[in-house]
Amino acid sequence: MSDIILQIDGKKVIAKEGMTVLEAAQSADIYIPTLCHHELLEPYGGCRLCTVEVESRGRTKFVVGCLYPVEQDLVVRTRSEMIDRVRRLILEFLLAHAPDSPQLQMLAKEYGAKKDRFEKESSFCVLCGLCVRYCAEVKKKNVIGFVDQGAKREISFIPELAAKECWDCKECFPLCPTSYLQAAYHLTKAIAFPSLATEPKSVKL
Amino acid sequence: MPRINSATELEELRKGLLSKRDPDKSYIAICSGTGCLGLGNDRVITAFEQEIKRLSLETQVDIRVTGCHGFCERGPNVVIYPEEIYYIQVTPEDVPEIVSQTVLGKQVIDRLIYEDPNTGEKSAYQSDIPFYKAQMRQLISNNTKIDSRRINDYMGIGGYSALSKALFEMTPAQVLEEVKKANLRGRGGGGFPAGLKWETTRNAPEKQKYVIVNGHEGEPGATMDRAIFTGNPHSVLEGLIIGAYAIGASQGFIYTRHDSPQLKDNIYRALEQAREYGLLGENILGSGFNFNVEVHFDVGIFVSGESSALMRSIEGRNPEPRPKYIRTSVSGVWDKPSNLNNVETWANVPQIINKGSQWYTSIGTERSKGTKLISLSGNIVNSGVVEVPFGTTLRQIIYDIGGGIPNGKKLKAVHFGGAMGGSIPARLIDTPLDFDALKKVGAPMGAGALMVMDEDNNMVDVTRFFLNFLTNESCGKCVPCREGIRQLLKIMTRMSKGNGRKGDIELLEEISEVMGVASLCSLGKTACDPLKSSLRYFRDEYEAGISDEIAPVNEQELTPERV
Amino acid sequence: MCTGRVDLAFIFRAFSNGKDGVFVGGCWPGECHYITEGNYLALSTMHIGRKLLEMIGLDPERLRLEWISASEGSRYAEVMNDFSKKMKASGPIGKGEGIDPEELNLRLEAVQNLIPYIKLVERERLRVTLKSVEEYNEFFASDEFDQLFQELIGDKFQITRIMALLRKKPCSNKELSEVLGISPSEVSRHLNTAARQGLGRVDESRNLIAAACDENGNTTTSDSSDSAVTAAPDNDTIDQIIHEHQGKPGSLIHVLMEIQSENHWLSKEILDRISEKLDVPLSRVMQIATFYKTFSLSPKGRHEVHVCTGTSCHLRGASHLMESVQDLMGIRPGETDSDAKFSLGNGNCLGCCSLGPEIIVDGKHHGRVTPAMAEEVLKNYA
Repeated sequence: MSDIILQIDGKKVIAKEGMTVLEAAQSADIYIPTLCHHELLEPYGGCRLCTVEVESRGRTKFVVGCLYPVEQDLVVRTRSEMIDRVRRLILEFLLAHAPDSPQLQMLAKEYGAKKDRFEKESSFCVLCGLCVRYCAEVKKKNVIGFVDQGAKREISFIPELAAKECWDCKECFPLCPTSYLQAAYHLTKAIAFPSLATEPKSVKL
Repeated sequence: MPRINSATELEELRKGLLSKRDPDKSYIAICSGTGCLGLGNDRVITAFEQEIKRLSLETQVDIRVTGCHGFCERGPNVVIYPEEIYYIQVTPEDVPEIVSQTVLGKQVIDRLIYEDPNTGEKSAYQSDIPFYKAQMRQLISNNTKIDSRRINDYMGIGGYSALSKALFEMTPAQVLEEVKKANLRGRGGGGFPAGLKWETTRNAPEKQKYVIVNGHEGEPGATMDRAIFTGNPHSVLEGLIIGAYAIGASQGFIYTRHDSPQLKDNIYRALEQAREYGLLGENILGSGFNFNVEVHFDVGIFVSGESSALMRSIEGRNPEPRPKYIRTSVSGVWDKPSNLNNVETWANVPQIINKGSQWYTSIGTERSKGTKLISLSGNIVNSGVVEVPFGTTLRQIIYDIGGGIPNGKKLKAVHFGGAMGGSIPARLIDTPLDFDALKKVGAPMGAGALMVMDEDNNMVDVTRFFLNFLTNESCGKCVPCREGIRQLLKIMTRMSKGNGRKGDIELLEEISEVMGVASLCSLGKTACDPLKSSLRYFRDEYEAGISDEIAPVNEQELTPERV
Repeated sequence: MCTGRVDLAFIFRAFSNGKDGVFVGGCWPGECHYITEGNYLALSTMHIGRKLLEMIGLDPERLRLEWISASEGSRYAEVMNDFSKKMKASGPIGKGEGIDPEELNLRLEAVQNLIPYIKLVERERLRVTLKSVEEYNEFFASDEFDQLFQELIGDKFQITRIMALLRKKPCSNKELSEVLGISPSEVSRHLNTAARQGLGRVDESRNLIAAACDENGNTTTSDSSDSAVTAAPDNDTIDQIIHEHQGKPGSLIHVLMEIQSENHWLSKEILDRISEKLDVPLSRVMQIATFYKTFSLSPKGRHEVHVCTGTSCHLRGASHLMESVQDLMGIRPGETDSDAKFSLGNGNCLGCCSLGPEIIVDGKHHGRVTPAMAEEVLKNYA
């Protein structure tokens, strides 16, 4: 694989073919915020926080760093007034769902996002899909999935699978930027299999 | 049916068909477009069939169950050929009289012909009716001439001669060049030159290439693709095969609506007939060119009209748009180069090949060539499907063809392009029908659904309606689109109740800007177009929705008595 | 112990054990020795606890929180006397409210099962940031709180109840509506939600719904005697459809569509079967089946009624027509009435714009319908 030289925030970065702008930036210690990205998982492009500005063949456009492939002589800007505006509004959208998420709060501080710009939404899931993708791609259990579409989209445990698979795994719980995943699990349990002992009665040491 | 193995055999077949046909033989063209069927034309069809049978006229009179004629407002429509006597609002009870008086007696029945509501002038013939007179019907005029279920009817009007010409008299490069020279622009919305798109796919390195008909037509109020595809499916198929030849694709997909059984039947039937004739499959017309088509149905979501989402749907995956930065014309279905055009674009191809790009470019404006199908609906006297050359002004469409606004109301705005289009005020209706001119004024044509709104409509309410439509259509994967639409809708709902807050308009603008920049696919990127255009022209109505002032609205006035 | 340590679970355990009232007393707000200020947490717990009592039909006064410091002995006595007097007047738990004891137990059990979830909801959604009693009172009395509570807890409670009932025996929409005291429209909405999460099975022929898994999460099989059985279509038809598409790329949507058009809805059994035969994870089958409006995961009524909500129909008054149709049927779009007579949907534009506004019943168009005419149209269907 040949080296590709591009410029990120004025800095010359050497990347490998097939890398994304985000990977190239990370390799050069240039920070681009992310939420739905996880290095163990396929790029998703859902949260759009990693939106950056690229200049390629004389044209400037906004793309997401986690998906855009590096090109020779590509010029990338990771901060600009417009980029910050995009990130701020995205954060404000998400803060209406999860104002107490530490990850969001940290980013909100950086981009000046207000957590009460929009009315509180009932669901506190930000639909980053980390749980769904982790369960499918890493654990290959497919216990949790998305249901519905548009604004009604939510995550949902397959009850009979959750009853079998989740009690001794829960590896997705710490990935969740809010505590919705945990809540969704407890809710599924309450609705579908309330009598299942969550943890084994005797723990083998 | 015999397989046709050469261009000569095709012409012989055509000659044979025409020689058996008496040009003076009467035929009754009964519209079975969605509008007329909804009005009960199925019963009219049955009545004609029974009457003809009762009088044993089968050999003298032909019944053609046709696609949409266009004049849906006055349906059910029936045309008696060869005189071309046009009857409107026909009921099954009228049928015996039509057969005895008109078909046999050649007499016009006065009460069934069109009467202009303004002038009182009557028109017995299709070409005299103002609705039809002002049109230029290149594509849809064939609908009244053929029974949409019969390939031989299509053959009879010159069907598949363009394919034969392309295969035997032209190289793929020449076909491509002709389409490029004709400057055929995509009718689905973007207006992107079809020839350039074809070229990209043709030049893509992968050997396996696909061509796709986008017949999804999810834009509310848009019915012209269905009118063509149901009424004259072979014209679309012929265009597709020619395109496949030019591009070098051996496999095509038709992606269309599942909710019209008639459309489904007609497409399947057309494919089967074409296969039997050797117009599809291996060694088409003996030319050595192989091409197959598979049909896929939408499952009812607008976002699948977005090209990459549509392709994912063909792959059987969730139609979330693909997150890659590669054009589908280079890497589409199963990562193969895939050229997607909508129904109307494909239907234009045969006439370009037959009559040449020079003829084609003589119609239209400088940068928009040919004719365009428009479906006209909303607060308009004559709703229906119309076809006009580019360059026709919106005023001509609305007043000369559409007959103006009903109930003595004033025209307030026209909206083009459905939920991702835009509205412009009445004062701009002298804008010509042209991809670029309409885009410039903020009402991009989209697929061509023209919605007419009278003075009683409140633009905040109309825009809110479009957004509400989109909440149910967006896939919900990316934050700007999902959350943006959600918040816009909340703001506009409170505005339309007169409870808007100070700063709400600026917030609407900020959200629409961010959605345009950061959304994953074109649905999210253009979801705010109706909002942007209505803010541009009708800002006062948004301002009126703020604070204590009550918007001079709206829903109370949308009483159905007007209907 | 700090009042903040009093868990909702403790409170409801007491009620479940038959206690008539629960009293929580502790330090005054602002007098906490620690930065945790746990008594505000107690205040929040109390507000939510009372709301939960109200939700299950109990007198919210049965839960009381008072600020009494260690030095306020006489106040303690006064408050306790008052509380016991009030509790006497209210009568024994459940009885005082006229709730059947068995029913009360079921309701309390449902709440108890939900408590781990409710606690997370409290932390994420219902927490008041400003530490003042007035702020708390104001928030918990607000419409905003009511709405959040209804969506996040009220609705979930009903689904929990429904599933608990269905685990005992299959029920009809009507029975559920009667037992739970909520409208058939609401039951239909909850059943739709349950179906989208793969929770229920339906016996179409008897119009009964059963739970998809038992209380331990084991899949219930449809052939056990008291469980509902899917009537149609038979497995052969389904297997044949699956077989035709098996191995072809893009088969999932085709299979779902064909079965949908054959059967008019997709049962949990069918989805399971598709998942198994096509070797596609159930979560993905569910994602696609819930993504598209075309697919229905609940059986439809005998007649499918659509009111076109396309733009043109909208401009011609479809929203009023929709309202009048909803009133006539007593259900909202997406729902099925309790007799399984009508299902209502808001149809996409079907291209009959010149007929707008229109009602489509079982595929037949009724054009140019005024709200007043809707009844005439629907009258003809039995």
